[in-house]
Amino acid sequence: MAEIMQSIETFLTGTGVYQLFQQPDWWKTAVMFVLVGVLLYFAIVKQYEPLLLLPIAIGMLLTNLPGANIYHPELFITEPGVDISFSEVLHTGGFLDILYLGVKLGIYPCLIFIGIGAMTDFTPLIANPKSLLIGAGAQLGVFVAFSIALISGSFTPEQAAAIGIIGGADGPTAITVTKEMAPELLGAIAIAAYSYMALIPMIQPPFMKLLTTKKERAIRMTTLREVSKVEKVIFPVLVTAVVGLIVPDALVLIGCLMFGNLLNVCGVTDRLSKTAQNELINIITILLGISVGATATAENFLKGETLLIIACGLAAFCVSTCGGLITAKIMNVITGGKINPLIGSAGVSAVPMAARVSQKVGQREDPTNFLLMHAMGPNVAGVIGSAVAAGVFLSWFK
Amino acid sequence: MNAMMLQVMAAANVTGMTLGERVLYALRMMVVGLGAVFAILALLWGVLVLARKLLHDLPAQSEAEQEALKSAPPPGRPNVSSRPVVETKPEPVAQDNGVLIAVITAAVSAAMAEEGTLPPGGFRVVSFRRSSDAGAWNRK
Repeated sequence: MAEIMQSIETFLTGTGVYQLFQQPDWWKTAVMFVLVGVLLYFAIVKQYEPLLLLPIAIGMLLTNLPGANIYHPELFITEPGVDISFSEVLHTGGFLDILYLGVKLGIYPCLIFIGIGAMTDFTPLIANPKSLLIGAGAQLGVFVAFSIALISGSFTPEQAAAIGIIGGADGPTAITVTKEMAPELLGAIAIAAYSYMALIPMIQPPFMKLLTTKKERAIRMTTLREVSKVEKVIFPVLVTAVVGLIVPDALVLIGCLMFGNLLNVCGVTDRLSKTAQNELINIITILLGISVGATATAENFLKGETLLIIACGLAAFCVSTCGGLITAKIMNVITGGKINPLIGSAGVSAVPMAARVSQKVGQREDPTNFLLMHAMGPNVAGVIGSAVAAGVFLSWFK
Repeated sequence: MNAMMLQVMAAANVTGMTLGERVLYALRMMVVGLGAVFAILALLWGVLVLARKLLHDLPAQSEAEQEALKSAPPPGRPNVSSRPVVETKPEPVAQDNGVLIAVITAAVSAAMAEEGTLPPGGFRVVSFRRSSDAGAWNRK
C-alpha cells in the first residue's frame, strides 16, 4: 500500500501543475500563457503574420510549460568571453535546444533569405535604381531607436543596436543581429518585430497622410521601363560584390538574398528556385518560429526592459516610415514632381505589405492610380538597406 | 573617418557616461551609421546605372556607328548628291499581336460561354479593330 502511495506521490509531484505552483513566481508563467493566447488569437483569428506568429506562440507555450525541460536558456546565454559548450547542448539539451542551434549559428535567417530572394522580384528596383535612396532613408528609424535605447541608459550599445534593427522591419535581419549581440533579448525583439510588421497597415497610413498633401498623393508616376534578362542576372552578382566589398558583415544576409534571386532569374535552376520558394522557406519558417518563441521564457520576457523594447520598436517603425516618406518627398521636389511620396513608406522592408499599403492609400485619392510596382522598388531596396544597416552594427559591435 | 576610429567610437564605455555625453555619443553614431547606409546604397545606385550604360547604351551606340559607317560613301569618292539632308520618321514597325488576339479571344469566348451564345464549333478571329462605342466597357 505504501508503495502505491509512493508511486502516486511521485507521479503527482512530477506533474506540470505541481511544479508550476512550486515556483515562487508562478504568476509570471500564467501571464506567459495569456500572451500565448493573445499571439494565437492574432495569428489564427486576425491572421496577422500567421506563418510566424503561430510557431512563435507554440514555442513560447512549450518553453513555459513547467517540467518539460525542452529548452534551457542557460546553455546559450553565457558570461562575456565564455563560449557556448556545444557538446553540452548536444548531450543535455532538449528538443528546442537542438532546434535553437540553427538560430544561434545564424543558419535559419540565412536560409530564409535564400527563399525570400527567390520569391522577390527586383525588377522595379533595377528599372528605377533611385529607389535605393528611399530604402536608405527608411533606415532612419533604426538609428533613432538605437539612439533612444542608448540614451535611456537601460541598455548596452549592443542591446541598443539589436533593438534599433526592429525598425528595419525585417525579421531575419533582426534575428541575425540580436543573436549575435543581445541573445538574451531575442524573444522580445523577434516578437516585437513580427508583431509590428503585421500591424503595418495600421501603423503607416496616419503618417502617410500627415506628411503628404492631397496633391502629392494623387501624383501619377510614369510606367517603369522594361528590364532585360541580362540586367536581372547581373543585378544579384553586382549587389553581392559591392555590398560584400564595403560591408563584409552584411554579406551573409545579402549574399543569401541575392543567391536566392539568382536561382530565380537565371532560368536554368527552376527546380532549385521552386524548392527555395516553397519547401525550404516553409520548413525553416517552422524551425525559426518555434525556436525563437522558445527564448521567450517567463523570467527572460517579463521584465521592464521588454516594455521599453516594445516602445522603442514602435518608435523605430514610425520614424522609419517618416524617413522613407521625407526622402521620397525630397526626391519628388528634385525630379520636378515625378515621384509620388507615398512610395516612400514602402522603404521599410516588410515585402510586399508596405508596398500594398502605399497602393491602397494612393488609391483612396485616385482609384485609377496604380502605385504598387513603383512602391516595390523602395520596398525591396529596404530589404537591402536594412541588411546594410545590420552590417554596420555588426562591424561596430561584433 | 576610418574603420579603426569607428570601432573606438563604438566600443566607448556608455555606462560610465553622463546623460549629455550619451546623447552626443548616440547622435554621432546615428549620423555616421545613417551616412554609411546612404553612401553604400548611393554607390549601389551608381553601379547599377553604370552597368545599364555598359549593357545597353554603349552597344546600341556602337551599332549606330557601324550603321553610319556602312551607309557612308566609300573614301575617295566625292558625295555628288546635292539634295539637302531631310530627317525622316522611322516607319512604324508591324507589331506581333498574337498574344493580344489570344487574350481577347479567350475573354470573348468565356463571356459567350457564360451567356450560352457560343457557337458549337467555336469561332475564329480574322480581324479586330477599335470600336467607336467605348461606352460598352463602362456598363455596370
